[in-house]
This record gives sequence, structure tokens and C-alpha cells, in this order.
Amino acid sequence: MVTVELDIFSGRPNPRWTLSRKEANALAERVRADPSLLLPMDADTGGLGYRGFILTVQDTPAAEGWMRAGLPSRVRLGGRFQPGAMESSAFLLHTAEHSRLDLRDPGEVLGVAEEGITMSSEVQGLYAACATSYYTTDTDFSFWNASAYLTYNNCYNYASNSRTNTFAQPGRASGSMYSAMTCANVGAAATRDGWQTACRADNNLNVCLVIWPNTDYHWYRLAVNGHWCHKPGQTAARNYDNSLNWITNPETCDRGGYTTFCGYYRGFNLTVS
Amino acid sequence: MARALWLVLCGAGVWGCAAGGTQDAPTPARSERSEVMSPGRVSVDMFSGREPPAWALTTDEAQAARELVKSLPVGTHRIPDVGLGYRGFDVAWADGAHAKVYRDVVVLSQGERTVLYQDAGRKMEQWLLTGARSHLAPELFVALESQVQSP
Repeated sequence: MVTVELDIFSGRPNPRWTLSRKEANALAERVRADPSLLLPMDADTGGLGYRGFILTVQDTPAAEGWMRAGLPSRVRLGGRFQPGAMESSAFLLHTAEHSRLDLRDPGEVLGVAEEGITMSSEVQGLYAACATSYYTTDTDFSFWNASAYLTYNNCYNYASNSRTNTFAQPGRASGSMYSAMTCANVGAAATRDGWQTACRADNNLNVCLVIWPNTDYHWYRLAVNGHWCHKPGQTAARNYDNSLNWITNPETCDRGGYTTFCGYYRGFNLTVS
Repeated sequence: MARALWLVLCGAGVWGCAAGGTQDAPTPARSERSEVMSPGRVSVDMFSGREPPAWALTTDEAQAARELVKSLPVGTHRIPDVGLGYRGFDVAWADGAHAKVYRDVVVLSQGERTVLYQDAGRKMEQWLLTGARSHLAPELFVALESQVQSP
């Protein structure tokens, strides 16, 4: 028997239902074709709201296809950060529609899940670190935090790994600074400076852009050990977020008011000013 | 040859040269921040990307700010490491004194000396916030006010 749990609630029990034999076999086929669909139970699949599905499999005839494929008995599929699982997630959600769910508001809940599945397609993916990446230390920030440089370099300087002492602004070096505090506008300005979304063949700094709506922008850069680091304005460069936690996922770390996650960029030896 | 030309042009101020470098290849800064020319200067430390908004204080305002700080009792609490978001006001006086104001803490530095003050009523911060209204764009002031007043 394959039980599907829609991981979506914080307080209430998640809705669950059982797949038919045909549905279970179809799911097993999907997973056999793409094993990366499955995630470990401790995978980060999102915060509040839609977080994907949890599959629990018991050795019964209905789960024959799953068992024969040697797939795990308890595993995750889908969630906020797995755009590659969008179709299979939609398939699983569809199997709920004719099931008897213990919900007062099944339509609304499934609608939220559907929205979450759709939004997962907009995520570029975590740790899309390029094959050739340039990583600096995730603990020693003396290069940035010495008093001669601290207040003269900002997040964009840090992200660019370029200590210009000019409090660099996206687009300024290329003659056209950003003009609005939006992902599109600041991102386009950064692109004019040479940042791109695709990996470069030579070397890459992996960075990401976030926005405090209508107010400010901020950048993070991937350092060694999978840790993202940043420099909040004229304050010290650091490897922790506003909750003092290591930053392993800039999409879910505590970013204070910078609630809009724009996306990831790559570049190297760019000129910023 | 190219570097010699760069040095000449940078030294002449022809180019907006600011030395810095990339990590693993540190070089000294070439340009210093300008000294405070007005009696005082206030800046808001709240951005990560954008330049901190700042404005000059009149002579009276600079004096009032200094007296306000001096009227506070000495404290022991330090300003926390906020990270992203509002981190307080910076006040710089022409004589080199500098105050960092965040909620109920004021840190006054001059030369080698630093004194912590306790501002239980957040009077200094409120004074600065009030003064900010006429110097900041409306939407920016609203964002700042919201941050200052958030618990």
C-alpha cells in the first residue's frame, strides 16, 4: 500500500490518502525513470505552506511495482525547491481529488498545494553551483571587515569579491545604474555589469539577489563548505543570517525584510563600482 | 607603462579610481571618506545595498544632539549585531565625535574613548527619527519609522 501525505499544515494533521494499485505502479514508473524525484526525509522542502509529499509504502500487492523497483519505504517527493518534480507532484495531487480526505475544506487545501507546485517551477534550484566555481573562506572575513574597508564596501562589493571602497551599485560600472527596487530592474543592472544566470566556462562566483520590497536590495555569495556569506551594508561580512544561523539556503534563511528572492547569478572578475 | 598612466590619472583625479582588490590580493584604499564639514551629520544605517541616507545638522541641531547624549546616564548594554535591516542612526560631529544610536543604547566615541549610554525612553532615537522626516523621501521615512517602531 502506498500512502501519500500532503505536507502542508503546521498545526493540523496533514491530509493522507492511499493510491490505487494502478496509481502506485504509475508512480513507481516515474521514479524509476527519474530517481532524483525522491528526497530524503530530512530534505529542506520549504517553510510554512506547501512542502511536497511524503510517501509511505507497505509491502502489499498494491505496492508491488514500488517494492519490485527497490524503492524506499518512506521518502519525500516534491516541495518548494524541486522544480524537476513538478509533473510528478501534480500527478500525486491529482490522485487526491477522488480520494476521501478528512478535510473540511479540501478544495481550498488542494488549491494551495497546486499553487505551491506551480511556484516550485520558478525556483532556479539550490546549490546550482557551477562546475568551475571560485570559493572564498566561510570564516575569515578580515579582508572585508578591517576598519579601512568595513564601511566603504557593501553587499554588492562582497558578492562581486571586489573591494572597491565605493559602496558599489549594480549597473554603475557599466554606466546605467538600477532605477527601481525590483528583481527585474536590479537584476538587469547587474547583468549590465556582467552577471549572468548561466554558468561561465572559465570560473564562477555563485551569488543570489534578494529584495526588501520598495526599499533595498541585498546579495549573498556561496563560499566553501556550502555556506552562503554576505555583508549587510557597512556592517561586517559574515556567514550567518538574522537568526544567527549558518546560511545553507539563502531562499529560506532569515533575511529580515528582504523577503523577495530574485534568483541566482554567476560571474567572475567583473568590474563593479 | 599602462600602470604608470593609471597611477598618474588616478592621482590627478581624472578617473574615479578607488583601490581595493579581490580577496587573496589585498591592496590599501586610495581614497578616504571626506571629513564632516558641517557641524554635524546624521546617517541612517538600514540598507545593505543602497548608500545610507544622510543629512547635515545645523549648528543648533548638532549642539542639541550632543547635549541630549550627554544628558543620558551611563549604561552597560551594547548595541546588538542586527544584520539585515534597521541598525540605528550614526551621528558624526565636526570635532570627530561619533555616536551610534540604536533603540535604548547610545555609544559615543571620540578618539580612543568610548562611552555607553542608557536611553530608556529612546529619546535620542526619537529625536533623530523626527529630524529624518524632512530629509527623507516619504516612502523611505515610512519604512524607517516602521523599523524603528517595530518591537
